[in-house]
Amino acid sequence: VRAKRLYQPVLFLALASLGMQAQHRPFFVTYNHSMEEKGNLEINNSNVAGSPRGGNAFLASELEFEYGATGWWTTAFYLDGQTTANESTIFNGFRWENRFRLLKHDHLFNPVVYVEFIRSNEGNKALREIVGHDSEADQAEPNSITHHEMEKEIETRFILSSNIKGWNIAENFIAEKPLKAAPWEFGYGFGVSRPLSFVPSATPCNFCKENFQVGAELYGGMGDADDFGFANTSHYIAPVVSWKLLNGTAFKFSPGFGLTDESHRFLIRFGVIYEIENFGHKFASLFRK
Amino acid sequence: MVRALLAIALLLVTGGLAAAFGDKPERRPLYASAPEKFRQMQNPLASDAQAIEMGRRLFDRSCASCHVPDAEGRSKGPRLAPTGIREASPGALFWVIRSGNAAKGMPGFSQLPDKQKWQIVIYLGSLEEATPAETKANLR
Repeated sequence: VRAKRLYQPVLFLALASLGMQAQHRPFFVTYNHSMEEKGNLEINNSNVAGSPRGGNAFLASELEFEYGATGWWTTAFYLDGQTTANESTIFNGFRWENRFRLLKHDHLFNPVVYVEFIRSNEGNKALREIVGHDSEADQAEPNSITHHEMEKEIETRFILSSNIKGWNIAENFIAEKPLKAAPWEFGYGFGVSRPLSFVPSATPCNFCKENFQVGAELYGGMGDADDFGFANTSHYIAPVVSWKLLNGTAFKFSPGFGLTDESHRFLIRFGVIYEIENFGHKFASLFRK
Repeated sequence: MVRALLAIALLLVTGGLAAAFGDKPERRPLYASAPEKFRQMQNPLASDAQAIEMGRRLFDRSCASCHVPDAEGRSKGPRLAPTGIREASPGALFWVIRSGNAAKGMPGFSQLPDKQKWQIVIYLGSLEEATPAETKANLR
């Protein structure tokens, strides 16, 4: 009986039916106003690979569990880790993210408030946001030093998102504050995307145009409260493409190009998303007679 | 400042939990809240013979996952009973699809071009009483 109880949740995750059809965001850094549907769980593995000048190549990976608590509140838990060539593979820490949609109907501008608590060591190379004077040199520091330096931070975003003539246009204003005595750091994200087609094919298929979204995002730092501006900051431009399969699995890919001397010359991001529809209801039913 | 942010986050999380698990008020159809200017709108595709078929495809892709019951008879969103749909004007249904209602878990499909939204409206108007008995399994 005990073994059955242990296996039940695993089996449940493996067998839960898929079929969610709403658009997910194709971006890696920028958020738009699409929320996780109520009761759905999205399991997302995102990765970024880079090779900083003066440092070793790395692959940072994060595992995200994103849940639609209500139609206007999406909560997500992340586990971050990275591996660096010639150094080590380390676990960095966790993040707890919450997004709150402020208006119940879609309007021209759709505001969303984002609040995230981060507990991570300095060796985190996930680059989920670029703020302050973040630079390529931060990722060149060896793991043996950075993994001892644990930090707690609060990240906030004000997200504005619009749908205009089939395009989604999203703007993020980012403010991040280490809980230790350090100034607020600022950053931005801007993204545009659209599906290749809005006309569904006669029969559902994996390689249909409507399953692909394309776009681009631009993101970077804007200094901190003591030194606000674009001097000595990193900026990136990154085309994005996502592809969604009929079974609810989606893939994302984005090559990023650094625009300033402080930026990485090149970053590759890729991810896979797996959606479990109506997870909350199915999970609760495991414990009902 | 950080404490204030944490307090606001806590307040929103508490409100969210209450909304997620608290008692639900009786449901009022979403189209009942449509602004007057939308209620007056007529479907420009009313005479388009292909619109119903295109609307069905769009419905299967974007709406069925919530509005069509699964093999066990459960559906996340309300089943779209033809009698209820006929009470709503085409413009009111268009508004519901376009604007959604986050408070009631209905996402907005404002990214969908107007033509596609009207195709869904015309398909909904064509539903017969037997249609809601279909299941998601049959749609795949």
